[in-house]
Amino acid sequence: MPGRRLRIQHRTGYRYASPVVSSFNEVRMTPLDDDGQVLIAHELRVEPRAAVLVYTDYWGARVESFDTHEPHDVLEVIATSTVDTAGGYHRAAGATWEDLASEKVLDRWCEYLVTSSYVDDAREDEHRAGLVDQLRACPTPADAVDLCNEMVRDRISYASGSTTVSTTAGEAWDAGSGVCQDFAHAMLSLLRSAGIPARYVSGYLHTEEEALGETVRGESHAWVEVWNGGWEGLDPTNDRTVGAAHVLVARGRDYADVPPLKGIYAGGASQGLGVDVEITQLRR
Amino acid sequence: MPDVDSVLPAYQEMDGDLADVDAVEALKTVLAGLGEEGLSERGRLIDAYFNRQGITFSLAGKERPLPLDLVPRLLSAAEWRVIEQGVAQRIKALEMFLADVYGSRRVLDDGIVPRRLVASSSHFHREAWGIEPPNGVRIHVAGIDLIRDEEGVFAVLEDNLRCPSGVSYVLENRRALAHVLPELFSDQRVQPVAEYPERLLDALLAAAPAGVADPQVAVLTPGVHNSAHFEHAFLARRMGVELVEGRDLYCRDDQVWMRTVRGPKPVHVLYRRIDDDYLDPVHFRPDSVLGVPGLLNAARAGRVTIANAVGNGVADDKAIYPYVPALIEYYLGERAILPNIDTYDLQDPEQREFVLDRLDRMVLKPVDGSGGYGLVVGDKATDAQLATLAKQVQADPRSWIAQRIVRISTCPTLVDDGELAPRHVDLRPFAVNDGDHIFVLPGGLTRVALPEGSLVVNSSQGGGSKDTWVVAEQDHSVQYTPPERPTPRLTRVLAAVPARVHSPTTHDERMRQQENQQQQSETPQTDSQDGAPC
Amino acid sequence: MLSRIAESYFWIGRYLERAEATSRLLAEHHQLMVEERTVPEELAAAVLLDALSLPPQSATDAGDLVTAVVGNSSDPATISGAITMARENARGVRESLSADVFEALNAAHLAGIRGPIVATSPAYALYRVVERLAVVVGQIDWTVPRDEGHLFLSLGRSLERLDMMARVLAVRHDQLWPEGGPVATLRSAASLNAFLRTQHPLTGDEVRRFLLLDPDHPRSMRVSSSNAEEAVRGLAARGASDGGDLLREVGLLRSQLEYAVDPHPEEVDGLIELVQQSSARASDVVAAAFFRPVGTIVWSN
Repeated sequence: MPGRRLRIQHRTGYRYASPVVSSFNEVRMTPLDDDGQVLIAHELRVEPRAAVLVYTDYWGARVESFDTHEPHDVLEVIATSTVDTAGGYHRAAGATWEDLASEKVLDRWCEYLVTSSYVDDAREDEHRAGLVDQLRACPTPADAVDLCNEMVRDRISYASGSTTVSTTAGEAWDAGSGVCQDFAHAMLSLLRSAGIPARYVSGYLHTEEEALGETVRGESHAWVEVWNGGWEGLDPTNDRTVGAAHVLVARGRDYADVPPLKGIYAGGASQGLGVDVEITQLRR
Repeated sequence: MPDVDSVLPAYQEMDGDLADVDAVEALKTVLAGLGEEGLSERGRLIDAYFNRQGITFSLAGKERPLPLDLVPRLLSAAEWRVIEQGVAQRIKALEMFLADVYGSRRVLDDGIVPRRLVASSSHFHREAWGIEPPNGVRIHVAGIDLIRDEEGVFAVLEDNLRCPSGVSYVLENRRALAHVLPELFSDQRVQPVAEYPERLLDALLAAAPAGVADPQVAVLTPGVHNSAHFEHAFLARRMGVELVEGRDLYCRDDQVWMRTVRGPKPVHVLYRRIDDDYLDPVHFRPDSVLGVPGLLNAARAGRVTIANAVGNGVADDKAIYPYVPALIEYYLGERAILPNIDTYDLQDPEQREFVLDRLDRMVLKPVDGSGGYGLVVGDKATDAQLATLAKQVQADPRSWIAQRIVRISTCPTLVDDGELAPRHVDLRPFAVNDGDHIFVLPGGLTRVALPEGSLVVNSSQGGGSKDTWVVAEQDHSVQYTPPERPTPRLTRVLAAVPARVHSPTTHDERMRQQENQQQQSETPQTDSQDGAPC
Repeated sequence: MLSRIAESYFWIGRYLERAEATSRLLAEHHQLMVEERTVPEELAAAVLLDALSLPPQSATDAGDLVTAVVGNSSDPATISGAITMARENARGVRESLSADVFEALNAAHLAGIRGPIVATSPAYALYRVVERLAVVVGQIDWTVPRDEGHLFLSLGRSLERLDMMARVLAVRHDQLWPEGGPVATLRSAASLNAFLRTQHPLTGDEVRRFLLLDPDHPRSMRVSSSNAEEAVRGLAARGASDGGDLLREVGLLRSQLEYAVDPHPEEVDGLIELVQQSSARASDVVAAAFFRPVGTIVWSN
């Protein structure tokens, strides 16, 4: 599948109940320049203005860090990026259950096989433990991944605002509804419990297929990658493979490793400004 | 599996093959001359000395002096050489391991250390990945805990690569002992320890960010209520640098500043004695009020050096410890000079079973514990305790390591009735890495388990300390050779020195006498015959 | 010098002065209560407690008063509390303070004011405290470098000395005990001999004027204000300046006292009040200009 050239503008921030005199923040909004995806341009604007330190973190994401010490009521962050998407993953070789149980795989992908902040052990919950057994009974891990995708989609229905940014896999499963983050976490929980290495991906999704030159509302999105002899992407929220419409930003064990904006500040209560993503397709 | 079932007697130091016989004899002669009473008197003087100086540590909210035994522990030059080289070798390898883990991760790809052990270490801080220290040093200061096994061989008990403490006791113990027992030193050639703060400062300056002309060093302490605050203050004072708390510092645009009465002043090297978790609320505990927001990224930007580096704990994790000899081979191509104590990986089912079968002959240590907390010595535990322990190990094997019970060596120690009796000891040598050279302070902190038979030396568990002497070899002592031509005596000075000035005499003898008489005459006269006629 | 350290120095100065002056005042006040039983003990006790801003106690006699003013380590308005706070501040700056000063202060703190001697002879016990504090001050004089720390300490001492002198004078021993009162006031201020040398009549008004305006006695308000001004100028010369507010405050006070010529008793009262207000303002300005600008910051995410 060929990729697309997209320009993405991601705008977010906080509003504070009382002026904030000091705040330290980290932004993970730069599309990866890796695995076939090409980053053409990227610019971060911060209001109030601040000097930005850029570094690559443990997980490979590009982080922009800044601090501001001017009293302010609103912190606004606007990241604008131009990227050529990869157009999907190479088909992995395909792994057997024996491959996944090998010492080599267990050690190499150990971080994606255990629980993490948002991803619990599905076997500890009676209902999901049964599902894990079903996954393990599949002939190949690839079959298990497909089945897992169905399980998650059967259980969780998409409902914007039904969960929060801190909802865990177990909570989303119990609630039966959620957003892309919850689909991803719920799936990671089942896959890891079944012994399939799986990781969280944050990025953007270009929803309009035929909108060349037109600016449309996009989404800050999340999906998963599973290890099947190589890494493959899967978007459980939209029940599709990851392709030309997906822009990869960061990977990690779960949301905690890849938050688009996180920080600390000294001052009163804060309120998120919401997230506004605009995507323009520049060329096919 | 090594033999853990036979119980060997502890090695008696200062009687062993490697001991410096002359030095030990000289020491014993002096101690014998003092007698029981003399010794207890000096013991009281030591306590008074420490209390007066406020050299205390806090235990359960109370400040108390660390009990110092009057009998120093003597290490011969031959014994010390092994320790010095072994500690330096170990630190060199651990430095390379940390650089690897927080960089290319080659050691994990090569399978020398299981990746899962690193990934699951609670002190492995991914936030520190990619931070490159200016001179490549992450372990600026290390304290390597050593014990001597039944054969008298020094072996490593654990590594302390985060904020090892206790070096101030090494310096103060020496001072205190020289203060109250000067005669002990008279026939000895003891290697000095007082240069430590200078060495530390040099190493910290060497670690400063490149291009800073006059680097400013500061010691970061959690505050006066920390149990090691005395040491933090001691080191800052002896290095002549500021002792700062988190609230004295702030970061702005990746530069660290301290608040002074003349306005902000930059800080380039921070010798911090705060745990990683509290260091920077941006990346670690957001509720920390001890740390400095933005510190980690200031280090990442190369504007400040954090010493010791963030994330060192992955290398002194008790679960990584068994792999250190392999790391020494991998990085240095050498065999470890100081062996490890046989340690069992409880995540390995076979080893776990072996250990669980003989828990009463094992020491079990929680991986995240320190200061001896949570440690279980098998032959001292009740059956109920061992049963609970077995359950805990089975539930969470990653959180424990097991070692055979080592009868650690003993040293003659002054006990309550003024007698000398053998007590178990360990040793924490301190090392400072300036990037070119690893300096190991001669001696180190000897901790002694004061209760008879006890193997637990931690101060929080009733341990004391000993001054540790590395006895210099004869040919190391400085010979004074008189210069060939006698130095001419300076005579000019004599002529130039002015007379000493004194205050004028306030009272001459006559005045004094008269004042005396006046005084007498004011007192009631009882014997009129002696009185002058009016 | 770190702002936090400077702040500690300032408060060490204040608390040392407070503990010393309070001890002297209590010893003399207690002496009068015992010697001259003309004033009801309850009233005499209440007056002193009020002057020291300590809470009024119910049913107080001379013994209770001693207990209340000696106080405990948790109330810095009492003698024990002031010594404890001086030590606490010294603990935080131990590495920059000389070891000798800390040891002396530690000893003063450990010695405390305790034992039966407090009840049998409070004056003896209190002058033991003064002696201990004298050792501390002596070590400061001998061993502390004359850097900003010392200047902040001197400034603290001067401002506290002004405040304490105002409190001593607020007791009005001369009105409570017309006979022995003026002497007790002078003894509380360790200035009996200095006063007698002036040959002024030993009256309450003369004593008050002396303690306000004497140009030579180290405890007179005039000398203390001049010491405060000197410390502020010393700081400015070393680059630690707040921009002028502080110098204006202490300089104005000093000149008002320096140029007050033979004031009437009412004018003396007015000046004493002015001193107390001005020293409090100066203390606030110092804190705002040099010390920690904010308390502990609480971070949210």
